[in-house]
Amino acid sequence: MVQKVKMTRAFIYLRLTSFINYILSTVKRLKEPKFILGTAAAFLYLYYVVFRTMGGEVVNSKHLPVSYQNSLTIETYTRDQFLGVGACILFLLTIVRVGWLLVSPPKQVGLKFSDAEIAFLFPAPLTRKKLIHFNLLSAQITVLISSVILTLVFGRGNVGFVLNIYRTLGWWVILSAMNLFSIGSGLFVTRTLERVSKPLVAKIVTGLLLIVLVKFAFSSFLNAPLLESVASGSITSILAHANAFIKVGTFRWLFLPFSILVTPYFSTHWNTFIFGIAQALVVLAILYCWILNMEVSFEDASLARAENRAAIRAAVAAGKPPINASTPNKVFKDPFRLSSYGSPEIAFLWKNLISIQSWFNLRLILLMFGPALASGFYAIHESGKELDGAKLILIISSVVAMVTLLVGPQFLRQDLRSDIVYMDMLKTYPLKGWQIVLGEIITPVFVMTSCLLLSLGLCVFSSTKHPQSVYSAFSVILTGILVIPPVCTLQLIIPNAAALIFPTLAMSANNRRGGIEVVGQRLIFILGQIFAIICALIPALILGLLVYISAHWWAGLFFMDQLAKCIGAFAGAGTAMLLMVGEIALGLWWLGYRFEKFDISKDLPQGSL
Amino acid sequence: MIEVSNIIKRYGNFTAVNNLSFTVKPGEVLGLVGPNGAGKTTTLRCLAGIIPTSSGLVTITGIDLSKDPVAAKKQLAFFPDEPRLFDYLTVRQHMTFTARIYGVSDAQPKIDSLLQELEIFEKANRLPSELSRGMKQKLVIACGLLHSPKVMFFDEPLTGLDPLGIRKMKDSIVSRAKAGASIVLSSHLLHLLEEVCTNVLILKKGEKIADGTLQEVSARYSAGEDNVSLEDIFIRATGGTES
Repeated sequence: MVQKVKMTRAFIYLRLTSFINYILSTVKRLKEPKFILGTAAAFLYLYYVVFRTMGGEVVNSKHLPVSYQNSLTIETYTRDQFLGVGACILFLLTIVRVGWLLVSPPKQVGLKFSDAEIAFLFPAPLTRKKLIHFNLLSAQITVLISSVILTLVFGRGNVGFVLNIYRTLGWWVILSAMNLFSIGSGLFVTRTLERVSKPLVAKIVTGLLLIVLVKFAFSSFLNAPLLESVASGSITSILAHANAFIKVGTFRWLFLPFSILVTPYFSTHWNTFIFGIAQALVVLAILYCWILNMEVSFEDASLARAENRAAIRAAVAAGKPPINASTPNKVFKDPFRLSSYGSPEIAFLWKNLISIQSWFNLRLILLMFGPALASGFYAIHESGKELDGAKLILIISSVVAMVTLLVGPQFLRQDLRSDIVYMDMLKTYPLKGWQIVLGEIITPVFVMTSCLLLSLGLCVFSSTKHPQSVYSAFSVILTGILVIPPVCTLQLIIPNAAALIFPTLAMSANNRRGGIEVVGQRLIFILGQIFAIICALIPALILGLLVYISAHWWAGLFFMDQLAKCIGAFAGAGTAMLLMVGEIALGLWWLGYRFEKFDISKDLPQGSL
Repeated sequence: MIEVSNIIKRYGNFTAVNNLSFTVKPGEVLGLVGPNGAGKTTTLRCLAGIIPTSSGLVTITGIDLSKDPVAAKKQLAFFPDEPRLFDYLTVRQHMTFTARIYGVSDAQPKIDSLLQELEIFEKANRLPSELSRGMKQKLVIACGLLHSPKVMFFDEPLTGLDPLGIRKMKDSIVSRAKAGASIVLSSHLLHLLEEVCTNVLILKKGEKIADGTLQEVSARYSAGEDNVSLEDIFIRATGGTES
């Protein structure tokens, strides 16, 4: 008992002093204007998004236009009506977790410890139980913070202080239970599979039992009254059915712990809340004791997890993909043959094209092209048989172009943003500053330009049906070829300029460090980037349009209208391109100067190199 | 030939390197020593053109580093204490990239020759993650030597090397100096100075407190005693305290 108290005290001391020191260091940093601005921006954003609606007026349908009010069918529900649905969701999550453990059981279950915790606690004279106890207590901090965040996010509206407390504690109970069950089930499955002589048989038998249980539970749930309620579209009836199912149904015993765990969240009165939280604490205590008394070796796996996390952190800090440390890196082929003669900027393109191959994984493809594919499927669904292949190509390639233009510069970071950690090495190269900056940004420009030109080509190809529209298609392609490369370059010059001017911010973006001021700085940076790109594009747009109109009018005096449009487009796009090239040259010259003056010992944070 | 004349490096009110002057002739190896925070790495970075000096003159083979950094950098190689390599380039790809950056003529035979000399030819298609620290260090050296630099800067060259790696590194430094290179290295390992360096420069709080050949510096701080170790000399010269 004495040891337990000591452990808890040690834990509280560690967390409390770490938290106080974190706050103090954050406050100290506020001496610098950039951090003050960042913090102010973050608080303004938080106020606007979360707090503004909490204590203020609730949006009232009476304030809406009459026509809109008439179109709304407003149905109100009390929170406790959702109890059954909440319990069923929690039950489903549990089944998914157990099913996943059976399908893919971990070879070793490692509890999550930080590098420092492993270094200090593992060699310390502590029992395994104490280490588990420490780990479970540590997880509570994340659970508490998550509970507050979830309350703020889902609890907008003027619901009052007390109800927000119910919600926060309700989230805490749910998240704590999920956390404890996740740890406990992992440890339990690992231990069981280690002990049984035929693990595969054990998994199959458990899996079958689980399937039978779920099958009967759902058969019981999906009965005739529910189907009638669904058919009638009455949400209240469905909610009532779910509540009755978990309270008086055949499987009420199975759903009892889940309904206990969600009761505090859905409470609206203090008496149900107090009673609910008391019951939930008992369930949590049972889960806690279950884990604490499991004698499972987790140390090796915890160490491996910590090392893996450290490797991922280091990779992300260096602007590289967060590769699992246990996965060996793949050798990528040369994109083209690089001779030792010629422009050195091409060497950067060659190098970054090798590294960019590692980023093209399924996740990126889904992020980049998922919206395009979804739009395509939506269009097919909406149009039925009327949609032909050409329209589909048009829709998909338009969305790809939009996604590339909007999020491309954020994803394609194989430039100074990722190479800023190699600054000392880059500075030893016998090259002018602008050459290095140009070399670094060529790769994302090349990839974005290729993607956009391909999309544009497909758009034009799929929408050109008549011979007379060939001129228009030619004009569009010509304009794209002239305008897209400089637009992409301008888009990428701005974040690279930010990396050189605010290297700490670029590095914090790479290593995903948090902090309220960093959130604010990122907001300012995004707004600044939008503002800068607009400022850079507007003169080119205006001048290009003026030249297009003039050239179109002039050419119209001598040629047919379609050809005059082509000439106008060429003149307008060419002028816009020249202006943008001028802006790019100016930007590169200035960034090159800034690169040459960059002092790694002053401009980069200590220990980053 | 490296000529350093009155260089100063300031960070706000703090002076990291103060009025430092010295010369390293071809074939000489200068050991830069001093307590932690004495300004050794800052000095090396200034000399390699990685960070600008606040004032003073640095010439590399007669080329003013501040006026023509590109030409000066073509003559030098900087070897940091930690091997810094691109994760997704193999050993050979690192060499190919470096050859293009430095415009090395007829690079492939030179690459093969260097890889063989440094015994990493068999690892040519491996990524840095598959190399030991010693191998990484060798790759950094191979990249640095590819353009046949006349001036070399080594920052703590023996950090993390095994005994065999240390021996080979020392041999490599000596052989490059014999071939006519001017070399400056910083190290805490005093036995390295005794074995490799022809000259030594002791820094403390950014200021030069002694320089000359090993014999000259020993004579200055031995106070007439015989068999005074370099460790004792270092402690006497620096006053036995950190910066």
